[in-house]
Amino acid sequence: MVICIYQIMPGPTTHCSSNSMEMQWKIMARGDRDRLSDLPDAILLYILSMLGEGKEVVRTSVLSQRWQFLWKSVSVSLNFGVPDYPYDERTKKKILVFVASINRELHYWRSCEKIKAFRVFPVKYKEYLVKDYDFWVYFAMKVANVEEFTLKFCIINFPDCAYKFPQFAYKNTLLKNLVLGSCQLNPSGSVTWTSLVSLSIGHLKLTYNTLEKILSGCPNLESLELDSVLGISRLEISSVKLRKLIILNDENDCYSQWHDEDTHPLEIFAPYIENLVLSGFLYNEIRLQQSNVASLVTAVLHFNVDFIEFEDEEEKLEKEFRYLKELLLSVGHVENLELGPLCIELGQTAIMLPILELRGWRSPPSGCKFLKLNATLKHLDFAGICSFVQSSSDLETLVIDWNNHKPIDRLLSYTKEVEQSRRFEAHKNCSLLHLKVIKIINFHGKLSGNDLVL
Amino acid sequence: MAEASSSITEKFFLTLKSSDGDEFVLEESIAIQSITIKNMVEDGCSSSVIPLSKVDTETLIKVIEYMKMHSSTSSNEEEIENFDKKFVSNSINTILNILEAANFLDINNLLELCAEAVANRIKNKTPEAVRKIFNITSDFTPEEEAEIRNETPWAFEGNLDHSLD
Repeated sequence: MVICIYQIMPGPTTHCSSNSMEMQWKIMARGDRDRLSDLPDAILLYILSMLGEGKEVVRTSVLSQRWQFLWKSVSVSLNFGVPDYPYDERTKKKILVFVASINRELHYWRSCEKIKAFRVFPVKYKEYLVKDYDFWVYFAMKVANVEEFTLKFCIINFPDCAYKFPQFAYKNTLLKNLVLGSCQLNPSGSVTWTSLVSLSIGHLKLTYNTLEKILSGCPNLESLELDSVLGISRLEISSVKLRKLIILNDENDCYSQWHDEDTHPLEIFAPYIENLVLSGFLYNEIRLQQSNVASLVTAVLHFNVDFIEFEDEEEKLEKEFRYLKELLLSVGHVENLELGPLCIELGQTAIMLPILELRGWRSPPSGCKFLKLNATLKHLDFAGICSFVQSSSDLETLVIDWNNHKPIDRLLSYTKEVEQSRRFEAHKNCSLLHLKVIKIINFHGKLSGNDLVL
Repeated sequence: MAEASSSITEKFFLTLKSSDGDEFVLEESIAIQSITIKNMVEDGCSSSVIPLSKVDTETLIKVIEYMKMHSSTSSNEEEIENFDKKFVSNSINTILNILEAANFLDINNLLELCAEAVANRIKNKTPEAVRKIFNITSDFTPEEEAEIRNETPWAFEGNLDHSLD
């Protein structure tokens, strides 16, 4: 009895020994040695390169002598600020502190030869900081010779009083990726960005000549992103290497602030691009013709159409419908098609592809093999989906992504139950000989009777 | 010819032997995620048991679990993602074992996963915490350490994490 208690609640002696046992066990389990530092340099550098930020990497220099100089061989990324800079940190004092901290750190990194990327997101363009911006560009382009440089102002200025990208920076032969947001581009001479692979420019006004000058200076460009770029009505891409074109448009107040005449229709001539993304808000037409995008393999269309120039609702709607049809026709030859909810702004609600179909329009025949539909409606979408799927007889993979959007009930009034089921009956007969995979993701509702449709 | 055609349907198996002497039988298609093993198979050295002298049993079990989950035939993306999440929550010592094995076996995805897991336990931590987590002994004098810190004071600013998680 006594022994039993003794065993359960050990006295001071046994407690001590069990403690040392525990210690011993811990040592055995953890390994007595410093396993991490024993790893070969190559692996440690690999791990350090995953720390991301320069600061994190530098901090390891203090761990032990083994680590003191390792960081110097890591190619680091220097990131300052975030794209969505906190609203309350826009006071002059805070901005100055932010700028000073960048300069101090850059001063230190000057001697480091392996800076892979330098990304800076200043809050807003301030005239009194032009020298600092110039210094950052200089650092990236001339001192550190980074592969990737991002200078993106978080709060967008009027295009005419944005930061003027310095002339010396139009020549650089090492840069591979360049992201500029809310900077004025106006090269006086020619542009020489011979290694540039991807270019993203946003929130600025361009002329056709400037854009042409830039593109002709980037012979190795593979991807071009234009994010809310105003002023151009024609985009000609003649490089065989440039395969990906992304056009984004923010829904932004700036459109009401900026001049309306800057939202021209945009015509695209890009016979070699294979990949096209149109996303955001279309305030005017982006015109493609099948013959002008003949090499297109993948198209992602995900936008709201809102032709602001038309004041008459009925006329506006008519134009928007017509435009959507034309656009879908012009990508009829692609192999992979991803359609977002193609919306037309109608007051508070957005109406989609199916409505188009219910208005008596049939989807154009499409040769696509991979179709992804980002659907947002519960019932009506089936009609649109069926129509689209039916007209794509070569389809091999169909993905339907319901996202998390709630169905918009009032849109149901556009159709009658009977009408709907009649359409489904009709679609049942379609044959999809090649369809192999159907994926339905993020679906939260019931499939009801409609699952038989395919 | 007949043999060649039957080999398409027939599954091939390899035997992997850990440093503790335990043997594991594994489908070849799964095992060749390891480039080291793949090369051995291609060189025709896989007919008998493949000895992995640098990988102990416990680690090998984990590595095989990983390869089974990541083989092209099974599992969907979500399953793999959940598996990876759970996988990196292994003790740091286990992770380091697997990392060494992944390096030796040349399984790129696994090496990346482990390196990232290690990096995540360094990120945002004070040097003191990193030392404790990884059992690193500083061989600097306090003066030397202060000097290094003084060179880059900005790197030690901010809210650094003292915890050992």
